[in-house]
Amino acid sequence: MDLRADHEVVRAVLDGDPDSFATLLHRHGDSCTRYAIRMLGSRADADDAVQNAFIRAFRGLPSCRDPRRFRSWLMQIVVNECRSHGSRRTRRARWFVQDDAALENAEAAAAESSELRDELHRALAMLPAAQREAFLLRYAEEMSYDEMAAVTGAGISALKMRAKRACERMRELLDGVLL
Amino acid sequence: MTGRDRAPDDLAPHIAEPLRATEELSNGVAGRVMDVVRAEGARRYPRVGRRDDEHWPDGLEQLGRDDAAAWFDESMARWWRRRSVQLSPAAALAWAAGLVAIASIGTLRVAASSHDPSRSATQSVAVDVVRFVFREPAARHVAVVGDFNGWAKDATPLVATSEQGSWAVSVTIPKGRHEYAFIVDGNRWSPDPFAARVADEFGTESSVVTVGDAMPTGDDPSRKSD
Repeated sequence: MDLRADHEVVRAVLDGDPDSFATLLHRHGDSCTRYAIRMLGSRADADDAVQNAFIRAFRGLPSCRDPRRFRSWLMQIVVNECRSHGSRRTRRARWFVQDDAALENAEAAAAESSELRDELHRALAMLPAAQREAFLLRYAEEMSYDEMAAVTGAGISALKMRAKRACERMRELLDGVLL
Repeated sequence: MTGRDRAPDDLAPHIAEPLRATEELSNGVAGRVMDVVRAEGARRYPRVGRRDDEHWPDGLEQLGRDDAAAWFDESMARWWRRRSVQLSPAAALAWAAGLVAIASIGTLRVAASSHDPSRSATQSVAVDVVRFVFREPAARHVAVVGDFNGWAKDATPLVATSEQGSWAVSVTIPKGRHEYAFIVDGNRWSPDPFAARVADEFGTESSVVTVGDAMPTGDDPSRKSD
């Protein structure tokens, strides 16, 4: 196990030791993957977003102004990647997806599932993207609102409101199933 | 206590637990990322300082002429491999000026994406500016949407040109492969018939342009196009 702090590993990569990037990848890869899966609702999309995010992070490493806060900087990239995937999917939904039968089948499949995670993902998918983002950063990644503001670029009061509304909506969606 | 009685920050444990459950980074993603890192690492972030095996040999003055020459050749070879060139400020300025001049010559080739059958979208390839041209005399409003503008239909409107029925806009786009389409009169999706196309999982087609690559978009071997 590599015991170096993130900023020391970042320094090593910038000083010409690219293999050290594997430490950052494995140290933060799981949480980035978790966020992306919850945000995008698909393992394949999440893998794509996380891969792009880490490659962008490696290429943009000199722009990480405070390597001691590497995780926040990385999450900012992951959040942006997920937004890009989300907007692309929204674009598709807006322009082409009107397959009501497929949607009904998906609803039915979700309703029949007794898996807690499926129910959770189904509820998450029904949140507006901005609320889902705030909810996940706050409750899944357990970030402070200051950190969330740095990651998302949104104001703290707006983030609090989004998280609050997301909580209320989640409770409505999961009421009778989990509560 | 019901869910509605709970304070907003008090997430129920049976929701929090699956929400925070570990999702492992896939091996495939880790492998592909490290492939890129190792391929680009030496170029992006050259090793700094002198390596341990690259010290000035003890007692060099005692080496014979051939040995000293061999050591010098080997050291120079290492120096070139490391690409850790140290330049004086004046030399660095001269190098930079030269590179800018070379880059300027090759910059700003413009790709025309046209519905005019006499002009193909794949005639030229942009470095960083792409000119999208759409031809439809009956159109009242035309916009281009793509991954470069978040697929926002109001972000990049085309402007009517002096050629009747033609619309155009120049867009600065990062290097790489991009998908796009035109939106006519705010509600009609229209891929470029003269550019390579790619279909999404729902079968709807977008067009493809590759920026910063000499390869015409229609010949992009990494994507299946129709």
